[in-house]
Amino acid sequence: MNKKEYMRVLKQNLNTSSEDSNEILDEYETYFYEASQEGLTEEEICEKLERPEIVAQNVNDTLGVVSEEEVVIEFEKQLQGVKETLKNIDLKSIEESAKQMVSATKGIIGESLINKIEKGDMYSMDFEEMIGMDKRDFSQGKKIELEFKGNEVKLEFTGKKLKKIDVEVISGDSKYIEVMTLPKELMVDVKSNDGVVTIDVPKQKIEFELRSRLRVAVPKGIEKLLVDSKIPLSINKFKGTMLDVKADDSPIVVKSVEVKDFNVNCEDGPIVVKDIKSDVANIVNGDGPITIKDIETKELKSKNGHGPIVVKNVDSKETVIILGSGPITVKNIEGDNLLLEMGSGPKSIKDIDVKEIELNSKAGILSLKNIHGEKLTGKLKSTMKSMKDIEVKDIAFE
Amino acid sequence: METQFKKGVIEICVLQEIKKEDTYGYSLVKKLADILDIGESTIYTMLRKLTKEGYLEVYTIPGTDGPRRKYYKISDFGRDRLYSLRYEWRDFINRVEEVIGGDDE
Repeated sequence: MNKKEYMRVLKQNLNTSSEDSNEILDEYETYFYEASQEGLTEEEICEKLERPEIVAQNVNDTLGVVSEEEVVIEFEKQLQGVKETLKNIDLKSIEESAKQMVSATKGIIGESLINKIEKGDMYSMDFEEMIGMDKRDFSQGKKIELEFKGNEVKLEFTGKKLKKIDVEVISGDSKYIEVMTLPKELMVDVKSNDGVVTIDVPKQKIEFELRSRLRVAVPKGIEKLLVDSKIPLSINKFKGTMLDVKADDSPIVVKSVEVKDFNVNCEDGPIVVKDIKSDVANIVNGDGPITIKDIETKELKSKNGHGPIVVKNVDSKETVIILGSGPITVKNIEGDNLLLEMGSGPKSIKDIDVKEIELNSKAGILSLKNIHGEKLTGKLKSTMKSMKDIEVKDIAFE
Repeated sequence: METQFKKGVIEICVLQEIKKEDTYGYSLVKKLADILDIGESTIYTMLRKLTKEGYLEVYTIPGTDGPRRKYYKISDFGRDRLYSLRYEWRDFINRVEEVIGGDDE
């Protein structure tokens, strides 16, 4: 037997308190050292000593096996140690290592997501890629032209939900409604009746691997555009007096619009609304993620069942966001009034310059940062709040 | 010898040796194990027991090239304990001597 084996067996058989055991083990360590100084080998020392099982038995009998009470004391001691350690933890270094982890995984999970994490903007989603806003060359496709009179049009998109087909509505520059398909083989049925254009996309097999597109160019001079869609849709660049979009649960993107009256109403869809100039903006969604960005209006109202929701860069006299539940990020808002009705879920409210702010929350964590205004009120129920850089004269939370 | 009896004897010897001069475990084992015919574990556990009971105090001196040495020093309690044990021991021996004395057959 060598020293390592001897100590292992001894330790294994000791059943006293850890303090007693350590003292005994310590003495045996010393014994091995002292005896080896006198020229004995480990084997010879083991010969000289009592067998480790006997030693352990002797120690256990004399010093007593560890009692339940001692176990509790021992546990409490360890707990105390843990508490002390926690007190001394360096949060900065943890943050640092988290950052290092993020940068180390950059190559794996992609830059755009990393940027979002680094900006603390996890919930900002953009469905443009998903819905395909890339510039396609429709000159290779089929073109249907419908002559159209009047200044108001309603576009109805019907048909089966086809994952590989989506539609882009743009402002055209002719007197026709132009329906372009890509590829040529894509069958669509277009009917026009009394200001309503129905575009039916029946279920069909498309031999092409790539996603197919349908582009509808709205004729010149249209002031009111109404869109009702059952398939993924994007509206890009429209200028008039009114835009009204209705959808089911298909993804909707509305971008670069200048109207007086702006409405988006979805049953349950991911929605992106971006770069809007209007007098009134209403965005209503059942459930599903919403991103509202770069809005210049007098009155912005958004009502949503379940988030996440991101509202960013808004210049509006009045802003009202109502969210049933889910995470919410509100950033860079200017105006006279801001009302946020929020449910549970994390809430990040940042860079606000609004005279009167009312925040109501049912639960969750609320983070307020860089808020300027005259009045900040609200009812916070079961909500933990953190406030930083707040410059508001009158603050009253219930 | 019976264990309990032996343990009393070992306790006296350990306290006595340490009272003479502060000492460390290994040196005590070398001195006493052969004389008392006991294993080292008995001495080590005795040292631990006496320390816990407050009869001995412990201090360490860093070793010149090996591990630190743990020295044992007798406390005031230990001194009292030793005197009373010694008195009991002598008294006991005298009584036994009365019984067995003079019979050297």
